[in-house]
Amino acid sequence: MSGGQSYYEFYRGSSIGTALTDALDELITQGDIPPQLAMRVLQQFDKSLTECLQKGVKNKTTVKGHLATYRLCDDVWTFVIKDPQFKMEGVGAGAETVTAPKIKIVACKSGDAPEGKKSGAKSNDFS
Amino acid sequence: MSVIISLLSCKRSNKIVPQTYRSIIDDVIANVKVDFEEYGMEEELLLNLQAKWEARLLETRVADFARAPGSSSSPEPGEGGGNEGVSPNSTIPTNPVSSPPGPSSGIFPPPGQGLALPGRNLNGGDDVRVKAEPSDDIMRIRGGASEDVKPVITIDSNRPEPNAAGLLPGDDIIDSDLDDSDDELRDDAEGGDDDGDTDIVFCVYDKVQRVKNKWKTVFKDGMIHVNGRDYLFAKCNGEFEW
Repeated sequence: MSGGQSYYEFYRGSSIGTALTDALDELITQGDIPPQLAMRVLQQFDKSLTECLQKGVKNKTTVKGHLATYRLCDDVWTFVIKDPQFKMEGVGAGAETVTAPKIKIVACKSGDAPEGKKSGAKSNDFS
Repeated sequence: MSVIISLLSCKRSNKIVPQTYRSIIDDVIANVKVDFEEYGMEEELLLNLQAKWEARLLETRVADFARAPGSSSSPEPGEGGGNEGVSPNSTIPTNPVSSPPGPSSGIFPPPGQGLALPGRNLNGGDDVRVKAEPSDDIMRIRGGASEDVKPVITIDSNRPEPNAAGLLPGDDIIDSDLDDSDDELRDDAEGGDDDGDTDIVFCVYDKVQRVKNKWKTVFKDGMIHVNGRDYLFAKCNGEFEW
């Protein structure tokens, strides 16, 4: 199950990923589950999240703003955008604009996560 | 003005978030069931994990998580696990605002002692994540029998250290640019967040193009976390001026 295609781990830093890792932390701390099992759950999370994003999400967005900093390291782009303006295309519900003072974009190369360097910028793991 | 607009309409365009998160959770739980069995774990532990996961996600309030029809899969498994020293379900829902689930910079402690985050539930909140110490321990343990790490460390620290000028010995100016942006990123990551809540996008890129100071990007499969809300996109075109 854990073999085959590999998936990016960096989505673990998202809201739902953080929620999962916090929950796993708690269970491990209490001695309820072994860390290896938690690792396995996180690997499954990488897979499930990638597939659900690819299959379940259709909407498009645009973002404009001032590029404050950029970096390309190990095929991972990191941008810091000042005054970003997102235009979310609602599904038949009209567009919505979201602005913020600043946002960071972490982007891994599309396609399969290369084995061995699939972590992305912000990823950490149990090892 | 635009703030008001986004407040009014944000329910709409991130409506997809709860259902997508729902399907992610369900998919993960369904697929790790066999692993829990292999490890000899009781099914209640799996339900417990799901409940904790959902509770923490609800806490974040990144979307309007109504109880979806499909979510009847026992959101509260009654803590039947028996060995629950702490019963977090009693504390979590009562103060959802006071203790956000920590910074989005998912920190995964190393196995063993690194996972000890003892005070979190008992002391009612403040994420005191002291990670440096445990990982040091782990390094030491991983070092194994040959503990002669010291000379290696001194060599290592001598080489990449010359950050005083922002330049490594062999570096040219291009690298110093990168160093600068690195520093700024660090500032952005650390100084920029008031409550550990950083606005961030996780995505993959198809294209990144630059003509002079104009950048055009094509992102895919993204999770946006902005203004405390989550948004998802299949595709996102970016246009930036440097």
